Amino acid sequence: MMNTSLLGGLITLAFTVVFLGIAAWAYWPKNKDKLQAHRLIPLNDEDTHNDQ
Amino acid sequence: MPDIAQSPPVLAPPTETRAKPRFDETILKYFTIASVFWAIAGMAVGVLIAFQMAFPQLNVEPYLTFGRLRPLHTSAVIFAFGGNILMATSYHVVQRTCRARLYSDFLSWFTFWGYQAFILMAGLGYVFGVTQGKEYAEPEWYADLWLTIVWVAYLVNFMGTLARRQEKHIYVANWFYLAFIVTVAILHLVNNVTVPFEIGSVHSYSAWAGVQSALIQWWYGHNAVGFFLTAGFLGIMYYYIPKQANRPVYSYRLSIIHFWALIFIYIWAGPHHLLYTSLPDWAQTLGMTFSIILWMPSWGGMINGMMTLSGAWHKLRDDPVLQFMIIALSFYGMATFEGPLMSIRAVNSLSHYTDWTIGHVHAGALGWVAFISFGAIYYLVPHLWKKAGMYSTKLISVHLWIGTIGIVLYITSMWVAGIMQGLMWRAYDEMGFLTYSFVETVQAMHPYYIIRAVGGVLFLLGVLIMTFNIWKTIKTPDAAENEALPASPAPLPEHA
Repeated sequence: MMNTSLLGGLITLAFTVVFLGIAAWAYWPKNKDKLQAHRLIPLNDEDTHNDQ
Repeated sequence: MPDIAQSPPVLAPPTETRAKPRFDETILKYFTIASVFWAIAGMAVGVLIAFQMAFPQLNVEPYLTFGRLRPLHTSAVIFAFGGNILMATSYHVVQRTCRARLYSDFLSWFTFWGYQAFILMAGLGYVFGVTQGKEYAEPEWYADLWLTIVWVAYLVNFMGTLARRQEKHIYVANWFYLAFIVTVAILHLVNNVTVPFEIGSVHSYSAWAGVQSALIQWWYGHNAVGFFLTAGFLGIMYYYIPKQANRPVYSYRLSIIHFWALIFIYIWAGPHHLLYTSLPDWAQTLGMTFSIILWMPSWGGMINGMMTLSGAWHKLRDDPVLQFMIIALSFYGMATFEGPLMSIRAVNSLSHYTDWTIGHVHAGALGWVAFISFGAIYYLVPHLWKKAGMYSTKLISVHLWIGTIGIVLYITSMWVAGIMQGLMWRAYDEMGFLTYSFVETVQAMHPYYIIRAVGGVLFLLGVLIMTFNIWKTIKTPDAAENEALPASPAPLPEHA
């Protein structure tokens, strides 16, 4: 059985890599326009009207 | 083939065929009013216990003693006021940003009445001495089970709404709400594993004991701060600040980092509540380290919220609702700077068990959680009741400043009291004897406890002014059907 501190180290490493992956994806220049476009979602809802 | 187009119309009374409104707003009104009601109740109890600290004669045995009222205060403000505004705003934001009605009317009403029933079950229990004795997890097993059912209904209703969305992307505010709902469920289930004393007993034994129990309790307790009082209210920030300012959030990419950094880091910070205890040193160091790393996502998020106003700072000058939101972010920044500082061992050796901690909590709870909630309430009330605006903008300003002065009195008096307390406890003379007896430190706190109570009174007064303003707003005749639509957002500079 793998000792627990090695296992803990590997999990920590995995979490770090996943997080860095997310950070790289978010700030990858090619993704910029697509991601930044989501900023407008709250402002695009047709306000004050609640009819079908 | 029969011509469907010419088949007779379905024979049903028009009331039944009429489609429901696109969004369920009635439920939002209920949650909003409930949150204001519980804010007054919870803060009134807070004021009472603040005066009990200054004047112990105010304790009325056995039901109205500090020990029983303190959890009543914390649960009422966190879970009743905070919980109801989180449900109001999450149900509002998820509908608006998904362009979809809530998944199930039944589940919406079940979460409303079920959650109010949980609050009453928990609160009545405290007054009659029924408690697990775990901070922020005081409700006994029967209330815990009921909350689990209500919470699963909430999760299903929220996820169901996400599933029927018309918008392709799930807006980031919903990520924060979902993290709040899911994490609180896990924390609640793990920390509350108990077995009743006997069949029919309201009391129970915890499955956890000793240092494991302490670690699980503070893993729960700190993540209640991280996911209930932070993630949930960041959901409010990411929707209501852009709406109120009529500008998109500063950086969507930063919001993604903000979210995932918070998720990855917060969950490990709990052991900082257990420095210098029997918890193993490595676990204490882990908690301290992760607490310090939390500086980054906290400040990243705060900057993201504030910079939403970049290029439109003039809006802040005239709009007290926006002022509420931005002051809330300032307190968020202050409290999340102070927290990691206090989790450093050397600082903690002075601050722990003193009133500094109480001041820190209230910088976050009053300054961040309550102020961002008030901002959301001032946005929601005219929006839901279809009015042109709040009854009085002037009264919003009065609320803002009276509340801010209340917070400043509260936290400054607790800084002075807490640091003095810590220094007095550790002072010893050249022979190694403690300089002060414990009761002398209690005596020294007296003036600061009075100042703190006055701060609390001012804060409560602000909420009463808000309540009056809300009541007058709802009573005013409806605004014209087609009130001016907000101008579409001006072309914006592209941000980082």
